[in-house]
This record gives sequence, structure tokens and C-alpha cells, in this order.
Amino acid sequence: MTDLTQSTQDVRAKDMRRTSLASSRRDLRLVLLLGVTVVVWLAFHFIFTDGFVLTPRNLSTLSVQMTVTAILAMGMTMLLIAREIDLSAGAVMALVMVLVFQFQITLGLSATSTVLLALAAGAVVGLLHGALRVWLLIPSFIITLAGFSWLRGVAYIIPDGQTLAGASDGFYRISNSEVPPIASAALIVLVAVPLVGRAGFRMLSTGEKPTLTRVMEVIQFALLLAFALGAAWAFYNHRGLPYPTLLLGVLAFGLHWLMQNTDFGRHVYAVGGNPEAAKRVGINVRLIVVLLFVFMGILTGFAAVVQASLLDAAPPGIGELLALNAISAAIIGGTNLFGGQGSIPGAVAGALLMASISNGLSLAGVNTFYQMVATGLILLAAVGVDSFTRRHEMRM
Amino acid sequence: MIKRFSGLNRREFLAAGTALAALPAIKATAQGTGRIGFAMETFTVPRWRNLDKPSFEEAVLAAGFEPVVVQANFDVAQQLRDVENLLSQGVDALCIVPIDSNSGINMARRAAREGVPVIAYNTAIPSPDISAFVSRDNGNVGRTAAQAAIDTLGDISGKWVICSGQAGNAVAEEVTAGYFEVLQPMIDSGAVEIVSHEYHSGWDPESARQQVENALTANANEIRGVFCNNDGMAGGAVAALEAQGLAGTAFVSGQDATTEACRNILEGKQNLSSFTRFDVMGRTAAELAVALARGEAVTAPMTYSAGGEDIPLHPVEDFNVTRNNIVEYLEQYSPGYVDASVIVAGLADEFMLPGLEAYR
Repeated sequence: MTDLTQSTQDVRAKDMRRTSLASSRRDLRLVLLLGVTVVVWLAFHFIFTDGFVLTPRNLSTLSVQMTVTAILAMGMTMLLIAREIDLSAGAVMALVMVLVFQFQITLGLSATSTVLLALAAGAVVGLLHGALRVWLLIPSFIITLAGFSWLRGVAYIIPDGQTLAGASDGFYRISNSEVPPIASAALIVLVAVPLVGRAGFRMLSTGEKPTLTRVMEVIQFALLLAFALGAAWAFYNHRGLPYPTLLLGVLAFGLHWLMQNTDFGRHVYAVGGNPEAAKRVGINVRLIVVLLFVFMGILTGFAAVVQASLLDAAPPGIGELLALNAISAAIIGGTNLFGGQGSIPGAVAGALLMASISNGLSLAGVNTFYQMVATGLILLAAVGVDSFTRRHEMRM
Repeated sequence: MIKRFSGLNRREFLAAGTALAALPAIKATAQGTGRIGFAMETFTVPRWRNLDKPSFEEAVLAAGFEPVVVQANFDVAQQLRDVENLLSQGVDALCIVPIDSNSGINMARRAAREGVPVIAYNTAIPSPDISAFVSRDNGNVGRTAAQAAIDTLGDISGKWVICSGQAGNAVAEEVTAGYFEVLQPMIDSGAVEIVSHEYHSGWDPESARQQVENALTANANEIRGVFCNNDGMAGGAVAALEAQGLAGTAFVSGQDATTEACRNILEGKQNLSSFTRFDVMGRTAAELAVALARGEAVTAPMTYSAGGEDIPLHPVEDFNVTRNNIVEYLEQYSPGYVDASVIVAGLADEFMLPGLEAYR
């Protein structure tokens, strides 16, 4: 019976998140992450470079540089919440990129068919992984570790180790063009007004609230406003909103909504919180897990389309360490490696912080080796803070 | 100088400082930001760290520009980000060592969209957006190796073996074509016979050793010599010849003048190794980048056909390292590129040359 009670708690987690102090703590994490990101920007802008960072142009570039990792980090977060993992994301992306160029060059398909087939290819791989997971009960770590190798091999075999380049104009434009500046600004205002407005109302609403919650509401309002204004300024002044960034935004909103407001989302958290209990309350755990892998596959398909169009080439060796970067971003964003916890905005914020550090160090002319050191330290710091607060809470 | 604490050691740092102090007058004439970007594939290989990079930086500084050198650790996606970041800093010219030839096309296109001239360095980028391609002339490496065999042996008629590098790799294909340019008349007349020619994936020395071993077996050890696309495979060939007591009698050529090859050359087991002056390569690219950044036109002495695209090639001198000039070579390139003390350590006295004692 204890199991059942716990799972009901998990299922209702969303309602609790909205009201309790725990919600403020989770938000605090996200705010902290974005705060650190802003500090990183300021430090690189004013101290380490001659003001290269906070320019409309660099912020636009940065928003695209983070997309591939962020898209994969979102899928990874969903998997990790349900206690699954995908180590093959980089290999799958390389394979889909290779297929994209086969569709484009060898078969001469249109951009639209290419994108649809790329997403389908990702979904098929995801379905395969999911099926192996639930029917043969092989741990996802092993299935995707195998995929890490054999899918990469197939990616090399199809073009015989060669890099195909030069997609059709239609496909090239996917990652190399922007929504016109005026439309971009309008779009950002359209999305930002309700979000900022809601945060504003929440901040001004009276009633009994813990101090932490009050402080958080003010900071959230300020951050949202700053990011919205910053985005409008940057994209309006440099060519407009790049399509990969727009795609990331749409996917992030969609998946966040899915995870917070649907039975599917609640069930994912329940499965990760306690799989046994989830099964007992009648959740179809197998279906959830298969669907999660299919989602991951489709997201990898999106990442492959973005990356292939960005490079306008399909080197089969691309993204060796991408899966690990996506896992890093998810964990920096507050995902628990052992399931039950994590959020889509967290994953995006994690990817943004990682991309910001890499972008800043690169602009400062610092060797890539230091970028690797920095990413590792951020990961340790993020998990260290979590671990510390959890121990602290337990003692209380 | 806090911004550039990357790869500079103290001496480079001081040199940079001196150069910077001397240049404000020249810098003012630069049209843009006065920065020149260099997107490299790695710093880990000694060649890049000790020859290409410092000579590039030195020449850029000497011309009154500021070099910005980044490396992508063999990650293509990272290289694209590096290029974007260099472009957003507003570099006046950009040099790229493409990790992958075809992936360089869109990087060049992006730079062209910004009006930034691009130089492909070491590896070709088959794109009309390339203003210059700085590289060795691989065909020349093959031609001089075959010519050296004729000069050394006089009559080269007999059976020969060719060990080529990775199939499809431009260096392997072009060096090999260079051998044939010289040998073809003799092959046609029947004087020279290529009894074995294989491509080795990953330029694998062991697989080259097996090729030569099999060729020796099949031809009752009657092999005049082995042309190898690089020194790793030449080492494999030497091992196979040594096992049959033929090392020193058969002609062996290689490329890169590595530590192993230098030792084999001193011991007489390898006749030559082609070496490209990578320091000259860095300087050439820097001078071209500076000229392009100033808006000057540059004309290439040759064109190079890459993936159906004719791009302007500025070839960099290569020469064969042999027992005759190895001391001079080591004086110039040790310890920056190879370590002479490792080469002569434990070398039998009979193989020593005047001038090498200092390294012991």
C-alpha cells in the first residue's frame, strides 16, 4: 500500500509543484542556472573579450549553436525521468544525416520529403530501441551502447565513409535562414506578453506565501522580461529569428506542455518515481517506455535535420560525444540520473549554459581543451549543489 | 593580453608584445578589425603546434594584424561553431584547415556571405568561395620520389611495390599518381613492373608490412624497391625487407621525415622521406591572408582540381630528406618537429654522421 500512496503523490506532483515551497525550490534551480548563464555572458563580454558576446549577431549565433544539444537534451530528460537512457543519440544523428544526404543527392527528393523521412528514420530507430527494451528486457544502457557502435557503423557504410555535401536550396535554408526581423519581433512579443503577464499577475497577487516564493516570483518576472526583451532586440537587429531557434522554441513549448498537462507526462514521472507502483495503479509502463524512445528518435531526427542543413554536409563521424553532452545538459538542468525528476525548461537552460561557456571561451580564443574542463566542472558543480541541498533537506 | 592566454608560451608572448608595440601605424591602415582567424583541426599533433601555428601567428603579427587561432579537436560541428564565432568577431580574413573537405564548403559559403576572404589550408575545400589554397603539391612528392630512385639506382628496371595510403584520400591518390607520371614510360616499355599495389585503410603500417611480405614471397625476394605514401608504411616495408635480409639493398621511399624514418635513413634502410616545410606553409598562408584582408588581389601559380572545382593553389616547397642532407634537416626541425636526440640514441657508430654527436 505504501507504494500506491507514493505513486499517487507522484501523479499529483504537478499540482503540488504549483503551490508548495518545493515548487519554489525547483524554480530556484532554474533561475540559478539562468543567472549563472547571464553572469557567464557578462564576464566574457566585459572581461575576457572586447565586447563580442552580447551583440545581436553573437546572441543569434549562440541560439543556433545550442539547438542540437538542446533538442537531444529534451529527449534525454524525458528518458532519464523514466529511468531510461540513450547513449546512441550521436550515432543515430549521424545516420539520419547520412540518410538526409542520400535523399537529397542520390534520390533528389524535395526538402519536405527529406525532413519527413528523416523524422521517420529517427522514429524507426527509437521504436526498435523501445521494443528491445520492453520485450527483451535488455537495459537501455546496453541497447543504446550497442547502437552507439552498430548505428555508427551503418552511418559509415552507407556513403562508404565519404562525406556528401551540397543539399538543395530548400533544405539548405532550414538552418541557414531566418524569420524576417519584423515578424520575429512580433512573434516574440506575442509569445512573451502572456508569459510575462502571468508572471506579473502571480507576483502582484496577495495571499499567504513563503518569503522564498515571493522572492522567486519577482526574480522570475524580471528574468522573463529581460530574456524576452533581449531576444526581441537581438533577433530584430540581426537578420531575424533563425529557424533552428524557432524549432527549438516550438519543440520546447510543446514538450513542456506534454510533460506538465497530460496524462502521458504525469505517467512518465510516475514510472520514473516508482515503476512497480506505476504498474500497480494501471499505467501501461511498456507503452510509455516505447513512446519515450520513439520521441527520442524523432527529436534526434530533428537534430539531424538542423545539423545537416547547418553544415550542408553529412560527415559520418559527427557527434561522437553528443549523447554525453545531451546527458550533461539534462543533468545540469536538474534531471535526476535515477529517475523521477527533471524538466524540459531545465534541459534547455542546461544546454544554453554549456553552449554559452563554449561560445565565450571560443570568442576569447581559448583552446577547446579548456572548454572541456569548464563543461566538466559545471556538471560537477550542478550535481554537487543538488546533492548538498538534498542532504541538507534530509537532515531537516 | 588576458584574452589570449591560450597557446602562447612566454617567448611567443614576448615576441607578440614586441610586434604589437611596433605596429600601431600599420594597424590603422587595416580596413576592418585587424584580426585574422585561423580555424585549425587540432593542436595535438607536433607539426601543427610547433611549425604551422607559430609561423602563422608570427607572420600575421609582423604584418600588423592580430591572429586569432582556434582548434576544433577533430569535431566538425565544433569547427563550424569556431568559424561562426570568428566571423562574429569580424575577422578580416579566415584560414581554415578543414577536418573534412566537403564540410568546409558551407563554412566558406558563410564567410563569403560576410565578405570575408577564405583560405583553405593543407586540405582543399572544393568551393568557389575559396580565395586561395595553401598546400604541398602532392604530385610533386610522388614524382621526386620516383625520380630519386632513378638517380640513386641508375637503371631501375625490375619489380616494384607501391604502398598507398587510405583509398579516396587526396594525399594518397595524388602522391601515387606522381609515381606513375614518372614510371609510366618504363612500365609501358616493360622495364618496370609494379608487382603489388595496395591502398591501406588508416595508412596502417602493419597492413603495408604484410603487403611487402607477400610481394617478396610471390616474387622470390626479387623486389627492387618500395614506394610508400608515408613513413609509417615505409617502416612496415623496412620490417618486411629486414626479415628477408634485404633492408639496405631495396630502395624505400616515404613521407613526413618522422623520427622512425630518420633513423632508418641513417641506418641506410630507407633512402628518402619527403618533407614539406610546414613553417613556410604557415607563413605563406599568413601573408596571403594579410594581402586579402587589405583587399589586395592574389594570384596563384597553379590551379588545383578539387571535387570538380578549380581552386587557386599556392604550393609549398617539399624536399627529400636523405643521408646527404639529414644533418641540415635536423638542425632546422629538431626539436620542434622531430627529436634528434631520440633518433641518434643508441645508433651504431658506423651510421653516425658529422654534426650528429651534439645530439647524443
